[in-house]
Amino acid sequence: MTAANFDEILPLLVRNGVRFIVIGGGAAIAHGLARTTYDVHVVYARDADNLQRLVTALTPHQPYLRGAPLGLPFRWDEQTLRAGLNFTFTTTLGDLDILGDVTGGGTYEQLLPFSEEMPAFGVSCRFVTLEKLIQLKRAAGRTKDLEVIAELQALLEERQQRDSST
Amino acid sequence: MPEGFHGVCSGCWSPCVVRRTALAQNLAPIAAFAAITDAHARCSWKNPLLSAALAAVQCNRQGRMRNAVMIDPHDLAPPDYCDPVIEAYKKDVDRTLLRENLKLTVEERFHKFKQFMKYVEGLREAGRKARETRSP
Repeated sequence: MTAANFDEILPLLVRNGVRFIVIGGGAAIAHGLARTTYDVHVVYARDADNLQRLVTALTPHQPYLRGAPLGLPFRWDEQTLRAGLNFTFTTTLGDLDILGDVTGGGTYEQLLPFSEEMPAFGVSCRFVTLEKLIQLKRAAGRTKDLEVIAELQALLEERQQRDSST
Repeated sequence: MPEGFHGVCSGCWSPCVVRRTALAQNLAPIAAFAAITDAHARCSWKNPLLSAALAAVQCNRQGRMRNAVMIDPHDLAPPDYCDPVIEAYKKDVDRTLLRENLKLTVEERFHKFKQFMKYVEGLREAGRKARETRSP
């Protein structure tokens, strides 16, 4: 298991014009949480152009279904993406989860108003806002997230305190 | 008078039906009931299920029950919603780490993350090597 490779995956997607929003651990780190994460989670737009860009961007990095037995007849193309919705992949750059719809946040278009652009790795990436990230974590309803939600809420309080004092 | 009511589970936020009398019986003996009521009263947004549950306990104590309440399952709690469970976890959060991180740029936060993960990987590798040298 290796660390999430944000510094290669995010610029790759941005440079290929993929429309996506970083959620999960990546967004938490961007907002200032001191946490570890092992994969990159993004919500992607499902229009034909974006699917094509996603395919083009990741093809050289051999995406394959994470946890699936080797040798499955998996085809990495637009048609496969269209037939599915949420995918968990291994790539030569590291693990990447692409979600067409996220619990509590919906699709890319629905999540877009709750995202913000931030500079990272020489490009401008779109991350879900801290406020929405807390709601997404809550909506996921996983016990393992309770501690993370507490940290995110503490972070929000710290940020509000800092902003009010400046 | 209907026995159950529709609510949204504070854990999974999915619609669920709760038996009011069972809920009242379960919640009433909780020692932290007063603390929960107090914390809930101070929240800017009220969790509909918790509001209903606390009301059910109060009504049960007074020997009366209320009518069923309907709650929108799509009603997500605001980010600063004060959930007693989360509040319990929040006590142990190291805020000094968060304050230090808030001083950094996004790039620096990711750099720090990468350095830490390198350190973790180094420790793992050292552990692996130590196990190999120990084994016959």
